Amino acid sequence: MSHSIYFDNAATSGWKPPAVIRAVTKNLRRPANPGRSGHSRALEAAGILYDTRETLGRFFNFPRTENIIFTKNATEALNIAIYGNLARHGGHVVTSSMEHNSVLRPLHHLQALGRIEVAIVRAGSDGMVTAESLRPALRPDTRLVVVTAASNVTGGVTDLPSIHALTAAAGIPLLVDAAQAGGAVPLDLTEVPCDMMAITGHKHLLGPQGTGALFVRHPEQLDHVLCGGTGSASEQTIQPDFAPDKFEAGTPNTPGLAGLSAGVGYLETVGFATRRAVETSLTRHLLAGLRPLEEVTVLAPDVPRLAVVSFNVRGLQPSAVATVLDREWGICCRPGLHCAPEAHRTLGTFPAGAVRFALSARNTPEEIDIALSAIKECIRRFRH
Amino acid sequence: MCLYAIITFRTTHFALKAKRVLERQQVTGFELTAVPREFSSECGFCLKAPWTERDGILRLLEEHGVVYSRIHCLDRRGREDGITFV
Repeated sequence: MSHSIYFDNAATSGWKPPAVIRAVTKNLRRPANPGRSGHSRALEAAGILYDTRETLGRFFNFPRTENIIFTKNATEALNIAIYGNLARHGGHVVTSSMEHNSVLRPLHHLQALGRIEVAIVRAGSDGMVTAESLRPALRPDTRLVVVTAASNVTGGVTDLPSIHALTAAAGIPLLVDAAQAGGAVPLDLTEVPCDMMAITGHKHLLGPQGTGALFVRHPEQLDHVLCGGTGSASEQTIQPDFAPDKFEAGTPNTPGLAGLSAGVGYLETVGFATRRAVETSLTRHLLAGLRPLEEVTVLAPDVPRLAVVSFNVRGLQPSAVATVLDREWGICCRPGLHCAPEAHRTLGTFPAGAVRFALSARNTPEEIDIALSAIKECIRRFRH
Repeated sequence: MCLYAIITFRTTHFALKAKRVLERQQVTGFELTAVPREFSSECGFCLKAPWTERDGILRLLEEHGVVYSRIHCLDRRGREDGITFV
């Protein structure tokens, strides 16, 4: 089947702008190691990294671009934020049951090592995490609060301003996991001046896989987790103590970061609001078709949301539904736990999980209609 | 006698930021180049500009939050004639 309907944009965006592909290939045709030599091509490569930081800083309204740390994905960014804050001094950490394993696993690891104590606040049955639900978990010795900006399971967008108001009043650093929200919903780091935010480049920012970043408000308070060459202070065998070099040991993914800059540039050119409006319309279309189906349970709260809709068909395993949708209709979606086991426990869908449709502005109402017909056909077959 | 100012940076990020800031301000006569071997390695790139332009350049860098490390003076033979530690 040559044509496919791609509904797995929460895993990675299924379409990249031509400018992204051009930027990556241009760099691959003329490679150099940024900041490792003083020649003209090394300077060009260093310029790519600089410009990508500027692009991200502009997009997320974060002027101190030297404090944007490049990583290979949101997972690495979250690990730097979590280990860099907690591994040395330990402490109490508050997070939510809607978090991805990229948050839960490093926290669990540090807890198993006896370094930290973790409180996982259970979200409401709609999967929403609120300041009111987090407040009772905060303690005088709480050293970090970690929340997702938007759930990769329900698509619900977290009310970050109220959570930041809570943590700021308590003097506790806030780490935001914006893997899903970055590029999908407005995120302004001046309006929500959280201490750290992790993004990935390959989802809604439309860049290549292998790119991501950590935005750090106070890099001097964060330990690095990797040591190595930075092209700076090379006479010293200790890691530089200034950002971004402190956190960026080793050769970076220059072609990928060139592509990421082009992806964000595309969002700026096409218009972020335009894409968001299309995705909202498609999501409404999908929900309007799914909700009347008696056999379908939709895990989608009526709140500000991403173009992510998870659901289950009564009597059918999510993996079976996804397999049929793929093989017979060419619909690519993701079943299972979505690396968020506590989220599915919260929603009552553990251990089988759910079927997730993650749309993008490149999808069409016709594709939604095909998917709805396909789901109805699955239901019809099961009845017989 | 100083002919050129060599401005060094801890990190390549600020070296590139200096270049972009000066370009946007339409400053000419400077170049971002490899740090001369006899100087501190710093980040590998330095800004080389006419000594007479240094005050204006440094003012622009400071206005735009560019953190620089040192200012070296190069004489007409290209030798160092003094270092200003910042």
